[in-house]
Amino acid sequence: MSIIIKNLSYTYNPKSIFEKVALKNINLQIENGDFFGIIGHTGSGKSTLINHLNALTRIQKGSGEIIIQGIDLTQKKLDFRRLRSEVGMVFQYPEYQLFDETVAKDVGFGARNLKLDKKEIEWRVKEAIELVGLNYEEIKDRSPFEISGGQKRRAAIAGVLAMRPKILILDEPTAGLDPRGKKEILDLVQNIKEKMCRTIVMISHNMDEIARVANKIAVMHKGEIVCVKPPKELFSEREILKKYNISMPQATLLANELADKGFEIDRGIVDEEELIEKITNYSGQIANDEEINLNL
Amino acid sequence: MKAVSFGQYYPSDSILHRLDARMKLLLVVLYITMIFFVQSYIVFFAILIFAFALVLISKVPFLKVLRSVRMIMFLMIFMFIITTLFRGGNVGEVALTGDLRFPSIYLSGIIHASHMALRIFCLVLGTSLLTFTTTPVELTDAIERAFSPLKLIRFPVHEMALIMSIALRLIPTLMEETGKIINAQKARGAEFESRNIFKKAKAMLPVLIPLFVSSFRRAEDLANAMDSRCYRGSEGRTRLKQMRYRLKDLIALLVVVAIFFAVLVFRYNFFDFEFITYLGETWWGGSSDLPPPSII
Amino acid sequence: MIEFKNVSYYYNAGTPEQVRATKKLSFTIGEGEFVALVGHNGSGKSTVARLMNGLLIPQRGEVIVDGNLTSDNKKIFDIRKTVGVVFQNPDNQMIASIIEDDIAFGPENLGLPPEEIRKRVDWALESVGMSEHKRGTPFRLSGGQKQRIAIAGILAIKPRVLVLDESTAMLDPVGREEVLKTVMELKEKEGMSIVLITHFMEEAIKADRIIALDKGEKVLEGGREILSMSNELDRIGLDAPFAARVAGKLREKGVSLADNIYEIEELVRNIM
Repeated sequence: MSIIIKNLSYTYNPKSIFEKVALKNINLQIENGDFFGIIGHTGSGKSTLINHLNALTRIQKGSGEIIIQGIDLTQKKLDFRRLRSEVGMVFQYPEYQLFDETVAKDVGFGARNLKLDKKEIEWRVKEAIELVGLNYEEIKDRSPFEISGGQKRRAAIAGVLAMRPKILILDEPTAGLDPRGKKEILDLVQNIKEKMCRTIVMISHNMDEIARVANKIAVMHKGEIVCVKPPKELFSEREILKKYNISMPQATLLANELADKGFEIDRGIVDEEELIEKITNYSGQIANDEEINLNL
Repeated sequence: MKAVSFGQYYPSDSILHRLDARMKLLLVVLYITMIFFVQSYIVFFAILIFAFALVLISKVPFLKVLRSVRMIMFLMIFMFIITTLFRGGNVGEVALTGDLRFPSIYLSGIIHASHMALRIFCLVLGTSLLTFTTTPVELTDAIERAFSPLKLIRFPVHEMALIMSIALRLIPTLMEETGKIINAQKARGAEFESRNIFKKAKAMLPVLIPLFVSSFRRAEDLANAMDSRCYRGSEGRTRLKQMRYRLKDLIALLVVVAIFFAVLVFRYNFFDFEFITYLGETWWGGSSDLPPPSII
Repeated sequence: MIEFKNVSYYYNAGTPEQVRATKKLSFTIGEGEFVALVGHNGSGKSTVARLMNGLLIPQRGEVIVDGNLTSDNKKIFDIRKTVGVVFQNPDNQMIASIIEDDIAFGPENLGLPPEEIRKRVDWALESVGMSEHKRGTPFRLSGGQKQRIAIAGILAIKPRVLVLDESTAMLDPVGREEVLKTVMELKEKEGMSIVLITHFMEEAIKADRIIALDKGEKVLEGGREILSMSNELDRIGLDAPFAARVAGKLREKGVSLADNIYEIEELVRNIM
């Protein structure tokens, strides 16, 4: 078990007129090897939840517990260095956190903070830059402010990877990118999962995206986790989708429209290719039937 | 995001909100001047009652006002302690601490220090009442108009006022952004809790540089947005909200002037009122500059 | 309304870092027309937005708005009164911290009498459905709401062309829908011309005309049929809308479908 969250609650400005409950009794288990998706509308508590996983937000006293790779996050004297080499965090628009003179130095910032030796840092920086698909020799001495937007985002992700986390948390890693950029970053995340971080937790507003990559999806609503299901099951639960105003992936939407019209098809289909195949077969069948009818 | 209470407009339709902003500015200047003439507990008490009455009239929630005062509570306590410790006593006054060289605390010192703390309290109460009931735009407009004679000597009054209002508008945005960047760098293992001031300054670079970069980007965006909305300086510009003095402004002025006059009477006793002479000799009605009252 | 004639724009012109953002770009935007300008990030589409209202002046070629050249300094305010641009980041377009004061900024610059400013502020907020927030501050609002305020700020100038420069790119799906709905209503009710600059091809479905840019050049121009050109779009880093894409793949597999399929409903009707 990679991440265990038990009865976690969180309140902003407790006991004041500005009191606002952000998380309500969250129970969640994320296993090693999961690609775990979190969806929910803006303000549903997603950010507060993931900030807890990196101890950027500390658990309030008596408001539940979190255990990550055996580290108990409720303890007062938490070993942050150890935690942060277990859990890496990529925020929204991560390119806005670049600051150092060169890309290599910037990527190495996290690794330097782990107080590793020089050789190790250098090696990790190279590894991370190459893992995100940038050319190390070409980019290492350039200023992070003069490379392209897409490169900036990759460099920023590399900065987290250089800490070699086993769990990677990403908050909308494709926000603001164009279709190709989105696809590339999504492929990158899957590649990272294969090569470095076995467990991925990703927030997304894009249902097509999350349905494509996640093996489990948690739905958050007003500070609560209302359900955790594999994408196919989740997107075939029409009542849940309706109740929490979650849109469907486009493929699911089409499948449902077809099903409504009497087409025999699984309502939970999330994959475009699978859907195309089903429709092709069906049309072929109709064509056959018509032929048979004609022959008769 | 932490709410910044100091100087934030609270929308409502009270009479204080509807007073002309220029008049409010003048009244606050009068009020501040008046506070410096106050030298006795009983007058402070009267002024506090007056100020709290205004808070009630303004319909701004009490807690909000207190929050803005809380921010300078530290300053008040600090000044109180320092003044009490170091002011010394009046001629011929015996220290409460006896013959000790340090600390040597005098009753008149305590009175003086508490007057100072009360003065700051009244000051903040009055000025935050101004900013609670006046929109930043009204306020900068008022300042612009109040200083408009300076245009004759080519002082860029309009530009200064605009800069002020934009600065006010950007504070919450920048605060939020700072929080985000700090979190992102913390996730990369940055430590900001160092005691060494040089180390601390260096640790802030990963926050300050991205903040700078993004501020420049914001500045450019804002300039584009202003240009797109036909901005061309103060020339030929009109205002949505015209400023006009009305009867209520005059009445408000009369009220404040009357109170100011009363304060002066208490201080200098122009008319030789006997009760003022009497009050002046007590510890609660008199000033700390007078010979030490012998009551206690 | 707007005419681009062989427009080339270079950033850092005349320096070693000179970068060409648009190349010999020519097109027109007609009265009341809804044009989608699509392209990947860095294709030069935001430069086009800034060229439209004279924030940038082309080094080669000319941009003409309502018969006026954007390079004519005397006409620049007429041009900005005609072409209103809403930008990407909703947080960076707000000048005042009270919503109605912010909306008033444009008309105040135009030197209108206070009663007229009041009318326009109320009308603009009504048009974007944000009237109840007029005395509030923008900070507590959602991204979509903030962007509607930014639109209202431009509306108050009463432009005849509304340019949205990737105004939905930073919003979540709910916010994006809000903004698009508002824009469509404005087109219907006020008969404004709309230039929607975007890389979300689904947003282009409702457009009268689509212009696709790549490396600052116009590579495609035409009606909705452009949305079915999966291969061409893919080459310039864009995706065909879902229904058009699926229809294309189905046709490849030999399923017979009608030609013009861009929306899911159309596709469903065709399959059944």
